[in-house]
Amino acid sequence: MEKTYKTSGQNATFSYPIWETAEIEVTFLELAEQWRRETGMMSLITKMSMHPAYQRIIGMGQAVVPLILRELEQEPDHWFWALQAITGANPVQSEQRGRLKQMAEAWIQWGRENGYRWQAGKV
Amino acid sequence: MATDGKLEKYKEDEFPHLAVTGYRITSRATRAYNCFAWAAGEDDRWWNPLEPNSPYYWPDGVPAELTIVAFIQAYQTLGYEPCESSDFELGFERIAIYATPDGEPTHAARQLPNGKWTSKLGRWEDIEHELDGLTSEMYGSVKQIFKRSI
Repeated sequence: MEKTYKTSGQNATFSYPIWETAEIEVTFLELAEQWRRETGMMSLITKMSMHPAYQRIIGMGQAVVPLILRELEQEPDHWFWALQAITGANPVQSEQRGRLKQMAEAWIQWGRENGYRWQAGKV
Repeated sequence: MATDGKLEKYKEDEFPHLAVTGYRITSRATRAYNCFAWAAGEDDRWWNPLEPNSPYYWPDGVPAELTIVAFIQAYQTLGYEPCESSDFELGFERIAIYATPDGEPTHAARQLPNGKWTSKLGRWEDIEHELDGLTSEMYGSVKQIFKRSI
């Protein structure tokens, strides 16, 4: 049976299915786990960011930003390329470059100042 | 981290030479620094040549390129100079750069006073190993050695 989705813009000349937030979260967590498992030995951001799972996360767009920020809050990881690609922002200061915890804190503050909301363990 | 000083099997499988040449884990896994920082003696930031507006550390004035030449310049900022031999030499510290067959750097290791090498494996653990132990499809092989006097 065909799955029923909410769709965007009924009166527009095109429309697309809108994912439920729970569906976005499950997909994000699966892709994030795959990315971590398959790129753990890599030292180059360019390589780990080109992984198909990471690219799919970027492709999910603005909806995953609070999920990524929640991940950064719980345990910083290399989500900065994705955040920069999705939002166009780069709140990391020169003196913070490469310092994972400080980079994560800069992005968490940026997220709060720019309207993103999340709770630990729940978005 | 495995309790016997060895990597979990799925990690060891990435480096088929490791089990043959021998190695031991020397620190827990962390995402705070990578092999290029660890080779430079740092354990609190992630080095990565990346432009534009990179949030990662790369020495000022060094081209942000994934080339052996850029890595030579990066480690020259710390007093290292290219050399031929990876053999241990009293009074000198060495770094080895691994690269793919087409010369793209993938990994760095630093020589220890006992002649073995220390490596941070991406976001995984640090290990002490033989230089050939990390030759693999992922890291390629050693393409450049540097040394500096200590």
